[in-house]
Parts: sequence; C-alpha cells; structure tokens
Amino acid sequence: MTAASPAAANEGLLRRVLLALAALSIVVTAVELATDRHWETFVQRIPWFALLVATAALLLVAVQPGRGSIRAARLLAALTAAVALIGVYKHVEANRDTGALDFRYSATWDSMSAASQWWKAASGGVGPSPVLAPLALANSAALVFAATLRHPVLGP
Amino acid sequence: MMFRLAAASAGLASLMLLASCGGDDAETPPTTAAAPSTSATSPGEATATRPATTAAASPSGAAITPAASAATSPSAAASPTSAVRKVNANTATEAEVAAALQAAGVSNAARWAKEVVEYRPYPANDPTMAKLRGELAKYNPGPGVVDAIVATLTVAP
Repeated sequence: MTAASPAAANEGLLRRVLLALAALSIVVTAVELATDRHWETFVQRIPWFALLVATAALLLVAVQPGRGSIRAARLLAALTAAVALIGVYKHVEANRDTGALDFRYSATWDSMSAASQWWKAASGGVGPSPVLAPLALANSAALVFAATLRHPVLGP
Repeated sequence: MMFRLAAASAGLASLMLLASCGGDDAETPPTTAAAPSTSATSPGEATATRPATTAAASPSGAAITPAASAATSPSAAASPTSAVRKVNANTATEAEVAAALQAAGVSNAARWAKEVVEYRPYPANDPTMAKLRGELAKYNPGPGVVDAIVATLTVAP
C-alpha cells in the first residue's frame, strides 16, 4: 500500500470542500425557496426538481464515484445549470408580464417599447421576481461539476 | 489546478450572493388617494384609457353577489352609487374575475385577474383575504387598488 502524495491529498481535500459548498448551496437554496413559498404554480415547482437533480449529481460524485457516475453527474449538473438559465428568463418574463400592475407604470406600460419593458423587467426596475436568484442553482451545479474535474477515477 | 478551481468557485458563489442581495429600490406607492403617478411617462408615451366604471354584463354561471358600493374602489368617488359585484375568489373563472374587476373600475383588470387566479386557493376562514393582499402587494400597486380588488371578491362558500 502506497501513501497518497501531498498533491493528491490536497486535491482530495479540495474536492471534498467543493462538494461541501455544493451541498451548502443546495440547502440554502431550498430554504430560500421554502421561505418564498415557491410552489404555488407548476413553474414555481421546477427549481425544486432541479435541486433534486443537483443533489443526485452531488451524491454520484461523493458516494463511490466511478467513470459512469462522474459522467452522469456532469450531465445532471449541466441540466441543473440549464434550468437555472431558464429560471432567469422566467423571472424576467414574469416581471415584464406584471409591469403594468406597478403604480408607476400602470398608465404607460403598454405604450412603452418592448425593449424598455424587457430592460425594466431584467434590471429590477419592475416586478417582484429576483432576476438572478435562479443562478443559485447554477452555482450548485458549477461546484459539483468542478468537483469532477481531473477526478482520479477518470484516469490521466 | 484544483486551487484555481476552488478560487473560481468561491468567486462565483460570492458574485451570486452579491447579485441576489441587491437592494430593492422600488418606490413605494403614495399614501394619498391621488391617482396613480404618471411621472414615468415619457413625452411620447400615450396614456392608457381608464376602464369604464359601469358594471359589465355578468358572465353566465358566475358566483356573483351584488354588494354595497365599496368606498375603497378607485372609482367610488366618481360613481358612489355603483354596485360592486362580488365573485368567488376560489371558484370564479379568470374571465369572471376580470369582468368584476373591470366593473369596479380597476385598471389592468385582466392582468390582476390572472394574479388572483394564480394564487388560489384562498382560505375560506379569512374574510380579509390576507393571503391575496400579500401576494398582490408584491406588484407595487397604487393606493386603494388592492382594497378595490378585494372588495370585488369573496371567499364564502
């Protein structure tokens, strides 16, 4: 039995740190979604499924990783990141759809250009949906993905 | 390599935190009973037509209950004798809710109706409709708008 080299030990430690950060990110995102009661509609439940996918990816890497499970984890992480990007779009779209309900724009929203409406919706000028919040899912996915890079089971 | 990955991940996480904690600089509605502000109107932008304050024909099958004129309605001052038709917030269709809101003089009635329907169900034991009020307040409505909407709705079975 040979002792692990210091570099390999460091890589192992950092990989565990990345996975721990991913787990923390998943938990915090779930708490944030719960406090926001983010389950009123089907679309609002999608990030919960994405969290399950991210958790599955995390477990694939953390528990007895193999070549197949690492690749599957990467695929699931990519799927989670894609859902996050769709979430950003859905938040902007929701803000735009309800822009006319804001008292500052109730009389003018429909006459504004589409570009102005999208900009207001995307920049936090109107609407209740936090535009970049879905990227918390992408953060979890990126951490899991980073933990798979140069994984020993993938070989040199 | 791994150190750079860790640093990049930590940086991304920090950016996420900063982005998601951005301050809400939305203005709060004025507390006076003035008409909604149009200060955001650019010179070339048209002003939307205010919905008619006369009662619309009630859709067939709607759970509509005539009620006394609501003092909270934005149009109440203009037509104090107009009756507010109540529809059931839990069972009325979106079109029925929109018709009731339009009859009450609520601007953007169709959009508000969509939100009313989206956040169903509403507890039948909460006549103040606190849940609905909380959801609608997120959209930064003008003064009296939420009261006017709630005045057109009922949760009684």
